[in-house]
Amino acid sequence: MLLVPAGVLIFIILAAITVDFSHLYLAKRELHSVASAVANDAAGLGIDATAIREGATPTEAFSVQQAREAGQASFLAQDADGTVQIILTTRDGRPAISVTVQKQVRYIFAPGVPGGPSQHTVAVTAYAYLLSGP
Amino acid sequence: MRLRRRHRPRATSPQRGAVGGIEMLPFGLLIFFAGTMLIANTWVVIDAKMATSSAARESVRFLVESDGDINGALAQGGSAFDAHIKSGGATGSFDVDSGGVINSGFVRCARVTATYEYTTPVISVPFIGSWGNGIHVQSSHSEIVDPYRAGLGTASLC
Repeated sequence: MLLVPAGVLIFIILAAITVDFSHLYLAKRELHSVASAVANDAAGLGIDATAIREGATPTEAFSVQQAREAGQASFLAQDADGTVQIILTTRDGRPAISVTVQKQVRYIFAPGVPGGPSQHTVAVTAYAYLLSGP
Repeated sequence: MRLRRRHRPRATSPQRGAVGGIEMLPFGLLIFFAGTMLIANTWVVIDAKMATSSAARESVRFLVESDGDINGALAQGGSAFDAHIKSGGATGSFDVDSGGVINSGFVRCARVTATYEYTTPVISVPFIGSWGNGIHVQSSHSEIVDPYRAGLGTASLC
């Protein structure tokens, strides 16, 4: 008879682990959404439109400082906390802006377990390529 | 010679048919119901948060590439929300911030922020329905109107 509450308790603990990991996944998903928005805004505002119209390539017309300022402003406009890092990089041989957003995510049920973890660091990186054309 | 009967203790309360530890069954059921309700309610909040954040993102992505069709963007957000929670019920709103520089509002580089809200039910039973107002969930997403897009005239905040 003792197996009934014990079995049910195990079932609920497994469900709690599932919910905690889903919460972590949700936070990761939201951070990715934030990172892609910041990358998009930084790439868009980091390029000098006048220089593009005068024939410069996106890489030539790009200002890292301007992109960082635009990215920081975009990050502040999001409903998110954490830290953001914006760098100009090359990915697959193409110039790109890399935006990494990092945040501490608190578990929901795990802190209730003695010795269980209370939080987890989630880091997400999004890229925006500096390309010309339609 | 008289034989003495050996004294045997009488069983005053027979235990035939009794099951030891039966009192643990309601205790187990209590843990089961309470735990399931707690987990289910937490899951509903996580699911609602996923739905509202998807709705906010999809509606903003639609709006920054459209010609300012807010109704279309709301429909996009509603579709994204319904993909998670079929019963719907989310309310969405937009804030287009052109910094007060340009009165027309929707111009290139104007910041568009969408906010979606949803109140989760307290109890939700599959195939039957849901009751009560539980936790209020809100998500927002913000982007600028595409600086290089066509169709918005010459006004710009870039």
